Amino acid sequence: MSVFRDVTQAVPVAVFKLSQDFNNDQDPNKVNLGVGAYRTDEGLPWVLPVVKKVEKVIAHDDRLNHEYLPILGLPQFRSSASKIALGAGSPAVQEDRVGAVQCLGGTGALKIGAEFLRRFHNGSNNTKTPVYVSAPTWENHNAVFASAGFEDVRSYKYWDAQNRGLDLAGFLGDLETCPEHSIFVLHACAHNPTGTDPTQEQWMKIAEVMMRRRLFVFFDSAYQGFASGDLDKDAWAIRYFVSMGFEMFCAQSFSKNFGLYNERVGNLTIVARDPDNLQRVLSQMEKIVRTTWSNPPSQGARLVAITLSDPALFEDWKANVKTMADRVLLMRAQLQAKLEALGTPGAWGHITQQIGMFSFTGLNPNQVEYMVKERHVYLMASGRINMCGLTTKNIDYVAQSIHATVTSVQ
Amino acid sequence: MSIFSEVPQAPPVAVFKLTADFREDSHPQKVNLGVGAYRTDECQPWVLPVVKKVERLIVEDSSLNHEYLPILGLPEFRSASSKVALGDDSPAIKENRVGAVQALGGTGALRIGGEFLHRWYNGTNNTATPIYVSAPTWENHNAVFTDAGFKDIRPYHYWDGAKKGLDISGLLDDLEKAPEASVFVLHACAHNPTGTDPTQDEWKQIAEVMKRRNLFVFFDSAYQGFASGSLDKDAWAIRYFVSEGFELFVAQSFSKNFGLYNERVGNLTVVAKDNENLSRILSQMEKIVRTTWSNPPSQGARIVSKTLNCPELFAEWKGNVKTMADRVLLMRDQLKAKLQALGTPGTWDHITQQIGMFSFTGLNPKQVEYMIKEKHVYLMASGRINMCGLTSKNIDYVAQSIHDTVTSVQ
Repeated sequence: MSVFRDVTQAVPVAVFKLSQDFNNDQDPNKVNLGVGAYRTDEGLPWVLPVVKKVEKVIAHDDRLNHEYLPILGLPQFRSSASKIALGAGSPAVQEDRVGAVQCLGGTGALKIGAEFLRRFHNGSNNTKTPVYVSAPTWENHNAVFASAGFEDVRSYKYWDAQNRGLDLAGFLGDLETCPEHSIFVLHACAHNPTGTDPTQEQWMKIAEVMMRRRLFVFFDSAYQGFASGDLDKDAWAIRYFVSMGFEMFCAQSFSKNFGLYNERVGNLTIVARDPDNLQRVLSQMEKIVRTTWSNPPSQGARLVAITLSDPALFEDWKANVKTMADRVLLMRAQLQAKLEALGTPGAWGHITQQIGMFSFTGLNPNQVEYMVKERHVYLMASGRINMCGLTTKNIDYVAQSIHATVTSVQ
Repeated sequence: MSIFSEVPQAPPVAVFKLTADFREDSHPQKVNLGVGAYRTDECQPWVLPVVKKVERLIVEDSSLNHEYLPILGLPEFRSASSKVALGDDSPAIKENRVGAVQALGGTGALRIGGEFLHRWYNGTNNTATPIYVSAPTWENHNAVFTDAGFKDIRPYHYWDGAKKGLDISGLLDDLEKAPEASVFVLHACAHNPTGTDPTQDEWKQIAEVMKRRNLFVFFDSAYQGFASGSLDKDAWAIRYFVSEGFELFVAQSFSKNFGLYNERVGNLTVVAKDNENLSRILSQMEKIVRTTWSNPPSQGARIVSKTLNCPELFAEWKGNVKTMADRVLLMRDQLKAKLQALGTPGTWDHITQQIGMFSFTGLNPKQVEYMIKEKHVYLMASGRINMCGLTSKNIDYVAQSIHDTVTSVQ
């Protein structure tokens, strides 16, 4: 008899199950608008040209070896990644109070940050500090903080389904009434899954309450550059909070903006009051990393560090990022135009108002099921679509499918 | 005031502190016998020729992209790695009851295995199950299992300081007395730090008690191939336990035997009673991975997978591994011979009897301090030396230093 006989079957992760179902589907018109990865207009994955170039440089550089990186990661990666988020001229960087932990993608950065906060924030080993994530949010946020030991993961109001926009009043209300020292996970830009970000004025209001009520700021930044095409624009909220004097964490992912999904390139940027506090924080981060992955993987970090540190390569990269962002903007514009041309019931302005990879279509679960089963257009049960899944070849079919769905299914 | 003002400074990891001190030392004859990484006779890191070759193949392969790997990792890496440990013709593999989780080095494999056992082994969420690690053991074992949630980490007798060998009766006694279902972390070969492995007969005795008392087998295999130069020989213990019908975990690392330290290439091999149990286990492994690093890094796994799955590259790799193992054996022979020629007090046979990268010299803490401060020969406080730090150029100095130390310091 197995010692594991009582292990239950876990439910598969929804977004991967969706892709699997899509892969098994034989319908010639099938479209995958599920998992969040960029696709070209041919519907194919895209290795950024700058990435291909730098990979070759790395493979032919005989000065490089495979010795362990430091526990906190490749120093040049950490500092250049933090500068991307905070801005090269950031006063906080100049004041030596910005540090970083190279992590395994955005997930790893959230995990290490969460493990640290559970141990050291709001007392020692305080697992009761509420962690707030947006309603809705990336499906893994809740589980990352729960598995880091937090017992109380709650949602803050965010998406107003009625008006298809940000529920600012609800959001601010939650900030005013939550327990002091609560942790808030904020999407730096291109909110996943709604594509709806606060405006600058709205961010200012959010910051004011968070400062006054001593709430902990934990940014999740997975789409910098990818959202508007402009790195600085997409980092406005992070930089505003830093300029307001917050101590905070920022979990950065380079999966999307470098297309380096499978090399797990992430960075937990830490902004502290001063270098002394920063050093103590980093020393404890080392302990946490040491028992999780010991020290991080080199390939992706080297690639990003080389690219960010070389002016010509940096320009190449920014252009590659703009290529992706522009294609998404084009698909947004075209999808909205086609739905309006078809006279599809409802308002479709949100498709071009929303930003980043995802759009919250407003389709309800019944309608989503119809899209998947009858039209073979795969999207998340929440109504979230990945704009990158749209191409000039399939956009008409998708528009018609949405039209057919909305007119057939209530 | 900083929200981090109460965060204490963590002490640095000893082995990295040793290397940092070594780097700062300007003494011309300094030798680093600390951290466990291979060095050539020129005392340089060594990128295996087969690795360099495969890296170039990968970079030229335009069919590859950077899309996310599955949560459990690259399938062909997982299966090839498990085969390396269990043997190509392993009945357990043929019976479809062997699975694996690609993990971040040996550390990541131990951590995922630990997280799984804490949730699902010996009841549900049973954090009280004792975890036994050898006395002494790799300095990170204790902390990995603690952070995985276990509250009771204990040592089992292992090193007999008096006879400079395995305390087999102490070990067997601990096995007899441990609470049923206790988890034992066993070093598959090349025990770190003692270099002292059980003989085949001793392994058989250990297995007999563990089976009878329902103890859980968790192998740590970081040196396969590196220890004796033969992959099969170094995997004998693992294969014996599998043939005895144990369900078990093996945390495999490819850091040393592929020299891929910084790409974090590891594999948690799971041997279950049958395929049905295996499936349920792997589904729960996915949940744990998803909240830790989401999915693993590609580069190192691709390199290893390509190498293991291609007969020519596999043969070339085995040659590279033998090169490393042979150099270590040569250094062992020479060090012992020189100490004996010098008439250094004590017996030095253990240097050639011990196996793998490390030797437990028997030097006491005072003698270690003398070695470092007076002789600028850096070794761990436990008396552990990394044989790879020895070269034809420094071995006389090291032998002389040991001689001077043992004759000057009690």
